[in-house]
Amino acid sequence: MDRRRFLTLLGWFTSLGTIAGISWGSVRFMIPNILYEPPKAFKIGKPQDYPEGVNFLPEKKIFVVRTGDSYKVVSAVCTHMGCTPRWVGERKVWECPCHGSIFNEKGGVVKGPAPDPLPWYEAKLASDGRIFVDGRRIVPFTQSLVVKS
Amino acid sequence: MIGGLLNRIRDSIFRHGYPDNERLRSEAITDNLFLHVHPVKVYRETLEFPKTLGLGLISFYLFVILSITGVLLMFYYVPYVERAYQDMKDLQFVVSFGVIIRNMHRWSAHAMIVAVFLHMCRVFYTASYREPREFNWVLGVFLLLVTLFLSLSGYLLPWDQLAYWAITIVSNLIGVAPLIGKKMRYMVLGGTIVGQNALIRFYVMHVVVLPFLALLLILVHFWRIRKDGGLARAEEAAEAIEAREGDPPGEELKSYGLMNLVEGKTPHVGQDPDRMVTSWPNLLVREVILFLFVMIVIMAMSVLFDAPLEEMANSAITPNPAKAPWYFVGLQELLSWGNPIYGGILAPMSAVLALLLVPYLDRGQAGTAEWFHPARRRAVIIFTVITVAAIILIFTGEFMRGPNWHLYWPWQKWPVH
Repeated sequence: MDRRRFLTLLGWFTSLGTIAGISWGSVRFMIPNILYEPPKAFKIGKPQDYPEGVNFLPEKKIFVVRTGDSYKVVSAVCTHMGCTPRWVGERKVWECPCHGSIFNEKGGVVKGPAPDPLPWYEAKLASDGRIFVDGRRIVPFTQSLVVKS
Repeated sequence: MIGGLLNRIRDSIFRHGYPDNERLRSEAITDNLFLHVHPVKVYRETLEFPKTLGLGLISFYLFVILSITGVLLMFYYVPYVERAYQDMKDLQFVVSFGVIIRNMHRWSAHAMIVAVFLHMCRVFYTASYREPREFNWVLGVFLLLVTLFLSLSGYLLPWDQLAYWAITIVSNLIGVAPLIGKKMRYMVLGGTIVGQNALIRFYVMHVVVLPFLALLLILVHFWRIRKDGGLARAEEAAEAIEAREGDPPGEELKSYGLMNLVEGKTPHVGQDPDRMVTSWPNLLVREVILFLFVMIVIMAMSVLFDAPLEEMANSAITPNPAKAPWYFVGLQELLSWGNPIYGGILAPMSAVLALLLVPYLDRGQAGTAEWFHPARRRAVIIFTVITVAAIILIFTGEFMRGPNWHLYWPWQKWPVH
């Protein structure tokens, strides 16, 4: 390789490398490293605050389902497009208003375009007696928090 | 004295008198930064309204109206979750003419999507995308996409229920893309939910990035029309075919490009001056009339109909039914049928790809610059079927879907909860 060719290649390499570096940096810049969003794990009320049946907590986007002494927490975000399904007591299903997905009382998809069942979140009793919900931990439907009243 | 001064001032601005002869008329165009996007002369036939229906210009005028009203709205609107909705209310009820400006912005945005779409249909049905205009069609497809994204990014800004849930649906649509979907969604929203990060991102896209991109594409789009010899004409196409099949020896084709320094086959000049007229005033008058027409229609709509503003965005309550903006409701309808990969990704992607390839797949030569030429029957049918299917999807999603996305006739009452 002669000197002219070497310098030409070096020039190209430097120019393209600069453009690539700046582009990559710009794209990376657009991906935030810190979020100021509501936490995915949080405390809600005490078990006795929730009556028998399905309780909707709109701020947390969850349902607290109480059957006697057992408590379960299920996501209120439809797995299809993120709308909020509503509980229809008489048919014992969740119905999503956006695209008509229907989930049974176990969260399973009965009908509609939702690809996945509604996830159940881990619920524990915190030391102050309130329920601690961890939205990062998905648990099977069979698992529930039992609090003797 | 005063008159002489005024004359001097006028002469310093305009370099010639009122253009009442051919020479001054050409100078009026070429000497003016804003007018010289026009050719000095245009073919009389391309001025005929039924040839184009003025749809490209109408789209551009709507873009102009949108830019001006958009800048005005920016003086009051703050893209902050706590304030955005309040500012919309102020624009609606407190700011002088705020409601008119906002209505104009909203209705022009809807109208621009319709106009750009119809413009595309016109160019397809008249086969005006053929050589040498193939790439200008491609730019047009990108302009259609930019128009859609402009409208979509503006949709979130009012921060009402309509905005919030439409964008929630559309952002989840991005999330279903294979492999990169989740990452893309994260980047578009600047997080995992439609919140402050999403609002400022949509705002910057809406008022800076996309308008700039649109303007750039529009300028190249216009520039290429000029460089490709104006609007497509049947005669020009026939000459091009003749030229391709063998030039008569010794006959040279002139070119605008480098003024005979190079040979070229693009625009033929000087062959038919008697079929051309000066742009001043023939083209300009038509442009002004069309602009007034667009203004009147948009103004009338803005006086008669108010842009929607629902309750403030509430992430806990999904309106029933919740719908995407109408131009994406066809996609939502497709999505409700099942696997989002087909409805949300494959269908729109293949539609865009097919559109981009149109001028390269069409090998036909007959029927350029003619509406629905019989030789193009198959192409016309395929395009029409796809277009009508898209319109049916949009109509179904917009007018026939009620609570829980159940089907209703447009005139049927929805059950009250």
